[in-house]
Amino acid sequence: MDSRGSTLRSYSSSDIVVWEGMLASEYSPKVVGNDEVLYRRLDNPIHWNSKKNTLNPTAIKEFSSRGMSVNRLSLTNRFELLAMAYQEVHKKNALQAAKPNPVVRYLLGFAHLSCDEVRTMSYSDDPTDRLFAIFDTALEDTISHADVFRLGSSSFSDEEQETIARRNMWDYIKGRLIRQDGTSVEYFAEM
Amino acid sequence: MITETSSSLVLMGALAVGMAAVSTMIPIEQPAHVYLFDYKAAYTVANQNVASSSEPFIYKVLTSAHSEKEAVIQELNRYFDLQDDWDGDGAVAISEPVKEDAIKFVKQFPFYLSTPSPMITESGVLSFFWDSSAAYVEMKLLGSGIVSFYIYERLSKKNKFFYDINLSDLDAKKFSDRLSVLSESKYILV
Repeated sequence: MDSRGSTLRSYSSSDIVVWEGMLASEYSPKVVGNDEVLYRRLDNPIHWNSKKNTLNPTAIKEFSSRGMSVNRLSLTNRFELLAMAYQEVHKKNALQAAKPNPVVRYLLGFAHLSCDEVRTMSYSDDPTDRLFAIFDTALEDTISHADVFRLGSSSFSDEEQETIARRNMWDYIKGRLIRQDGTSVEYFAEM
Repeated sequence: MITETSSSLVLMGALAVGMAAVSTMIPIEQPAHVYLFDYKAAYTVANQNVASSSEPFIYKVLTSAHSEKEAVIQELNRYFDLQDDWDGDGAVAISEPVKEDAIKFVKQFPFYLSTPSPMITESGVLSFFWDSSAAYVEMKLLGSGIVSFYIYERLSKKNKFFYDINLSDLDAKKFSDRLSVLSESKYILV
């Protein structure tokens, strides 16, 4: 398992917050600003709660390990987002096809996140006890790529931090979904 | 519509009045904010609804609870079919002891309490969760009948964790107590 998340948490949150203001990739044109909007692709139906027509809280948790991949809207557009999403879904399904009982992915849609709001989420009332950090991890072929990582907190064990972070992120994104079935398409049109 | 989320008092009210009614299915209005364990509000609504309708809602309470449990078991079976690396990124399948606990839990869960939703993580951890505007409750199955709870109270913003709880010790009363944080009565009853 990718351990970038745990490596990051071995440093103090104050250090990590300083690093947020530095370029983390040679391909990145600029650090991720608080005023930016991020898009997260949702493509795993196992985390979709059809009864309640929303995501389960376990839908997103890579922020503790390899980083939760997102795309910066300021460096891409809806057509590219959709093209990348379909390409990624196709690639993952192709890799799983030979397995006896694969989870067939399809594009559920996207969650849109405000950088500022994600960065102000905290474990407690103390605003410096931050939950997440966002880094510009641009890739050679996807300069809009960024990662959200969970930070640590001395008030809770690592497993408790994970649970709190997951619930916080779920509470936040469940009302910010753009379904690929046409729901919230107006928002896409405004992009 | 009265659902199984109403309390046992609702059920008693239904038994007293609803059984005599005919089985015509008539939609019943229910305030969306009447939640689990909201005894006073639920009882009042139940009486009002039964008095103003010919529907025997005891029938609805029981059939609704049954169908919700069936839906949860269907979802669980979907998870149980997952094998190692089910997400293509090294996800872990659910262990047999956890599967057994999950089915046992759902079947024994009191029908008049709000049915939880199941969820799975890539680590193969199976949990159930309840959510309301008052609180979020998560119960993680650890196998061998042991569970842990995470409770977040939205008003106070408190995160609470409870460990090493034996499922067999959680009777209906204890579950009611544990889940009472989901009640929104403190916001609507004066």
